[in-house]
Parts: sequence; structure tokens; C-alpha cells
Amino acid sequence: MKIKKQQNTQAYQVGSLIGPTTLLVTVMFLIPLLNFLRNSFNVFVPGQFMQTAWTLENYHKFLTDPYYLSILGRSFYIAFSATLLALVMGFPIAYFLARTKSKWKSIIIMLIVFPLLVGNIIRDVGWISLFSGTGLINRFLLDIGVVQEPIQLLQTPMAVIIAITNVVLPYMILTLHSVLERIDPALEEAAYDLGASRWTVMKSIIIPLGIPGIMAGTLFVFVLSINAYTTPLVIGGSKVQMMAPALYSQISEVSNWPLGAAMAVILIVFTLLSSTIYLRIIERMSMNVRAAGTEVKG
Amino acid sequence: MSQSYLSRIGSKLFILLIFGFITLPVFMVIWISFFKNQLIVFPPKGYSTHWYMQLADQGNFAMAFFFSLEVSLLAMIISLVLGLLSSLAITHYEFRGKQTLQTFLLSPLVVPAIITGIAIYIFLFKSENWLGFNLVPSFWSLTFAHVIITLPWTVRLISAGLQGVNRSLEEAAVDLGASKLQTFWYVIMPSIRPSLVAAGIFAFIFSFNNLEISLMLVSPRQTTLPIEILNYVFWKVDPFIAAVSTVQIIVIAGLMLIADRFVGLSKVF
Repeated sequence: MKIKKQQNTQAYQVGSLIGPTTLLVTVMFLIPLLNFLRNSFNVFVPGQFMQTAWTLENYHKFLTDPYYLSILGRSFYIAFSATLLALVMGFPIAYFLARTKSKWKSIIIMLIVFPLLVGNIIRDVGWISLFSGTGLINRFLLDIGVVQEPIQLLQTPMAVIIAITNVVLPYMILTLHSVLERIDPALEEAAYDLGASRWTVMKSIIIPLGIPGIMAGTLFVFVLSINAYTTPLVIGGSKVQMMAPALYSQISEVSNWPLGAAMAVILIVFTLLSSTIYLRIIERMSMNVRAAGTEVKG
Repeated sequence: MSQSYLSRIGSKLFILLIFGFITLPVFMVIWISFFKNQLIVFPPKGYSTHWYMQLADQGNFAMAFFFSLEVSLLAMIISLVLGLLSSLAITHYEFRGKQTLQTFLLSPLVVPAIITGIAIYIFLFKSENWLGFNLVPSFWSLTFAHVIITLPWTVRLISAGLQGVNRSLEEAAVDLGASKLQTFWYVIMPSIRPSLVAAGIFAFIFSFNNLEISLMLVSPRQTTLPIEILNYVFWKVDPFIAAVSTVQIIVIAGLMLIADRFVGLSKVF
């Protein structure tokens, strides 16, 4: 790019500051991504590589095969459950953090963030030692006599849901915390002074005002959960397949790039679609709540 | 009165339980690494530190550790420099399409890292034939893939830091005859040092613990630490791999404590 002298130097400065980064993200991210997604319209020829084409064959194959559809359905079900669990567990902690005046607050936040930074594979090592046949949970169940033989915990959807919830919970807590912190405590104090119970305060002040945080948190956590790779691979294995590991094995083991690319597109579009529907539902619900609120006042 | 006391105890207990849940897997890893026997049984037959002594003998893990260290340090430096330059443009200039560009630089955050990794591999693999030299697997393609996933963090943290700089200080420096470069070095840099340190540390951590982006880009003979751990875990889980994991836990805990000194952790996420 030649910059003519009469053009202002500002454009030149902006260009040289942000140009290299933009170039890198374009070459190493945008173009590869578009190129990969383009592969989803190609034809896979076993033995050979693939042929360039414009066909919907791969999408058709995925969307009509119960085996592939079950992977997508399972991914949704596991991500949905993990999101719900993370919300139920995360909300009390986030509220506690937003209201506490304890000097330990920064240490508590560190404890919450820490497992997140350690990385999934390390945590999965811990989960295996808990869930395996000789693991701590089975040992405990045997000792108290609930079961006579070790029960299968690894490679079950429940184990995957618990492990994924554990991964995403810190994100949920931090997102909720940032919103709940901004709610004026005076509102709650006033409600208590007027004789409201804890539950009423929760239901009519904290939760309605916390809706933006709940929305952002659940959405973020759902997207993270449905894209999970390491945890379903290690904890779920071949019995609890999810989209990310399944599409990776299409690419690396089967070498079926077109189908793998189609799965990537389906995963991305499905995530966007369910997020949009979810936002619409929440919007409608919160509008109803507001309408009900004005009715009571009137 | 007693009822509200009970409910307060109850909610404290609930919160403690959830904290237990959050830290449980990490705690398990550290605990197991001190088990004496290779087969993990509860309660353990005894404790010892001999798994840590074996770390040095297992060349694979030491090699993977240093390889990861090299990739992550380099990715951190590159994404710090690029993040700082882009953040300066974003915070100090007005130009058309700024919002779009900013979103574009953050966009690698929303695409699953496994898809980004595959996409980079396929693109470089195809370009290899066209360019006629080796691109994958190579040290530089792996490093730049790590830059892509760490860049959103450095851009976000450094722009936030730059927005907090008092602009009248910069104007004063310019009024007193300082050049743009002098203003940058003597006024801007000192005031954004905390966010630079935090950005660097988080870029390093998110690169170091990322497994998905590297899967397609490493060679079988030279892998990163998370992948080496993954390959071992497929085979078995024993106190040795827990000891390897504990080393990574300690490294990251140390870095997190440093980062917290400079920027409150709750401000990062």
C-alpha cells in the first residue's frame, strides 16, 4: 500500500499501528476459517482426497443419519444441563461475592478463577480418579453399602455433565458477579425494612435486576459447553460423543474433510440459532414480568 | 431469630460445598501425586514423593514442558506487541470501521479452538503445495496459531488499560514539547505497566494450557505438555501423571499470584 503525501499522516499512523495485527488475523484466522468451511461443499472420495464441488451432500448425510443427529442432540442436552447446573450453583456464590465485605474477597475470587487457568486436561485427571471403578466415589459408595459392586461412572453423560459444569462454573460466577455487584444494596435494605422476606427480596429485586447477568452468563456458558472438546473426549470416551471430538476425528482419523467441515458449520450455526431463540424467549419473558409489575402498581 | 440463624448457616454451608466442588479436581490431582503405589486405590497404601523424582528421568515430559514454554513465551511476546500497537490505534485515533475492526480482532474467542486449529492446518497444508516449502508441522505455524488465540486477551486488557490513562497528562507532555514517541515512552508506558503485565501473563497461561489449537499443528516427535498429558491419560492415570500435572498447577498458580498483584483478577474476565 502506497500512501500518497497529500493524504493525512493519521491514516498512515493508524495503518501502521493496527495493520500488522489485522493482516495476521486475516491470514491466520479468517481466510483459513472460510477456506475450511468452503470444504463442506466438496465431495469426499474415499482413498483419494476430495473433489472440489458445490454440493449439499455432506449436510444431507449428517442431517438424515440418526447416528450423527444423536451426537448433535447429545451435545445440546449436555450443554443445556451443564448451563442450568452452573446457573443454580453459580448464582448464590456470585450474590455472596457481590455483597461480602470480607477481606478475603480477592482470595476467594482467585480460588474460583484458578481451576479455570489450570487447563481442562489436568482437571480431567482429577475427575478420572474420582469416577473410575476404583475411584474415590465408588470406594465411598461401597463403604457405606449403597452398592455391592463398583458402578460405571466414567463414560456416562452424567459424569460429562458434572465435569463440564466444573469447567464453566467460574465463567458463570464472574459474569453474574459483575452484574449483581451493580445492584444498589439500599434497595434490598429498604425491602427488608418494609418486612419483605429473603425469598421476596430475591424474587422481586435481585433476580429481575440480575436478568442481564443471567442472560450473558448462561449464553456464554452454553456456547463454551457445546463446543467442549477435551472433557467429553477423556471423560465421555466413545460412549458419550459430542460434536467437537466427533468432528475432529472425522478430520484426523477418517480424513473426511468435507464431512468434518460440514459438522463444523452445523455446530456453529446450531449454536448461533439456539442462542438467538433463547434471547428472544428471555426478552419476551422479561417484558411480561415488567408488564405484570406495572399492573400491580396501577 | 433462630430460624434466620439456621438459614444463614445453611447458605454458608451451600457456598462452602460449591467451593469444594470447584476446587475438587485440582485438589485430587495434587493429593494423588503423593500416593506411594502406582495403582490408585483409596485409601492410599502410603505416601511418598518418589514420583516427583522420576520427572527428570521421563525425557518426554521434560521436553514437552520446555517446548510448551518456548511456544507460549514467544506467542506471548508477539501478541503483547501486536496487542499494544492495535490498542493504541483503537484508543488514540478515530477512524471509520473501528468498531468492526475491534470485533474482528476479538473474533477468535467465539470460534471453538478445535475448529480454528483444524482450519489453520488445512490452509497451511494446502499452501505448502503452492509455496513449495514446509509449513506444517513447524514451530512458527504453531506459535502463530497460539498468537491468534491469545491476541483477543491482550487487545482487551491493554485497551482497557489505555482507556484508564489520564489524557490531560499526555496533552501536557505534548504542550511541553515532547514528541509522540517520548509521550508514549515516558507518559503512557508507565501508566499501563500493570495491564501490560497482566495481559502478558494471561496470554501466556491461555497459550500454555490450550490443547485444542495445537492438536493438528504439532509433530508426533515434538508435542506440547497438554497433548503429552492427554496421550498418557488415554493409556492410564497414575500418580506419575498427577505429579506432572501438579508441576503445571504450581507454575500457573505462581503466575496467577503475580498477575493478581498488578490487576485484580475479577477485572480480567
